[in-house]
Amino acid sequence: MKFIFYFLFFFVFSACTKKPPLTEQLTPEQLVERGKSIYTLNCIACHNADPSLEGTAGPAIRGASLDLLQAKILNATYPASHKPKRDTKLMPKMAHLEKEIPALSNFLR
Amino acid sequence: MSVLAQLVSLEGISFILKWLHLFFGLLWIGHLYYFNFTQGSAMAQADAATKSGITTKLLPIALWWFRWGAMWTMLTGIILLGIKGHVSGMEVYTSGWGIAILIGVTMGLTMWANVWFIIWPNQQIVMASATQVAAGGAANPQAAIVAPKVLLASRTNVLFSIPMLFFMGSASHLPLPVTPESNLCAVTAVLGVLWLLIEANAIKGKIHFMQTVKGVMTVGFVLTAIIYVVLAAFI
Repeated sequence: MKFIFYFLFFFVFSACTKKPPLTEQLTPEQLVERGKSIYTLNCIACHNADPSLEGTAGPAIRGASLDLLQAKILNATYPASHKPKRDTKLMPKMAHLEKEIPALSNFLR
Repeated sequence: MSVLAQLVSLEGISFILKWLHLFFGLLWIGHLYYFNFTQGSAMAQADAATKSGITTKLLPIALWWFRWGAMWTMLTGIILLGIKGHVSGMEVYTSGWGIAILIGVTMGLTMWANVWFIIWPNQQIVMASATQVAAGGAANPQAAIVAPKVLLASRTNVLFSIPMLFFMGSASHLPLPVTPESNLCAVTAVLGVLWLLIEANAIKGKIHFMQTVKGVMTVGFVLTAIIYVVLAAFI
């Protein structure tokens, strides 16, 4: 039992040491790299791992504008002038990614 | 793309498998809840003749649907998981979707193993003993020893089923905010230890709070909340 306690204690505190970097402090290359990680960790269950290809539930999104990313990620809507590639409305809001939108935008350019 | 072509595409086949996965899952978990929530309470009030009838006539049929429901839920789920990895790449299992679905998969597979390796073999002893008694013979003393093991494994499956349904459903509908800073090692370690303790208890432990339906449901919802708090702390 003591072993389990120390084991959990170690992981709890090792987890508390990491802080996400501020995107404003990243170089363009680092921003693309971070965008790629965020995309892989949050988007490829629906979009293709290669964003220029169609995904299982989401369309190709290479070249998506910052406006489109903000509207879809923060509000699950489209910018007024945008014509959706698919009319399925499957994507939920992913507002927790708000700070990562600049990185995603750089990766998807 | 025509409707028929869409149905025979990988997307269409995945959907058919998801549909079957849900169908077999309902068949399995429906019987699990029937055994725990309905039959258990009815048996506690029934006379000896009714108990014998349930154990020798109803139970064999219900257990057939139950264990084969579990088998086909598991098989369709494993195929679906393989297709997802094939289509989206293996890194999909470290995504927000992957983490939630793998939590559900771990519980689902554990429940399937409990059905096939604890509940079903021991229930056969209980049913054979009841059949012997109904025919005027003596009860098998082994039946009284294994019956509590069946109850404990069955209650543990009810306990696992509550977070299992939450995380399988949340994978696509309540995305986990995963970033490169997320500590997936810690998530695996903490949830792994928790899973190990619960399953070790199912195999060798005691029924504790799970004796009553109210108790097992409460612990199930509390376990769901604990897992979510662990995810919130490390992701």
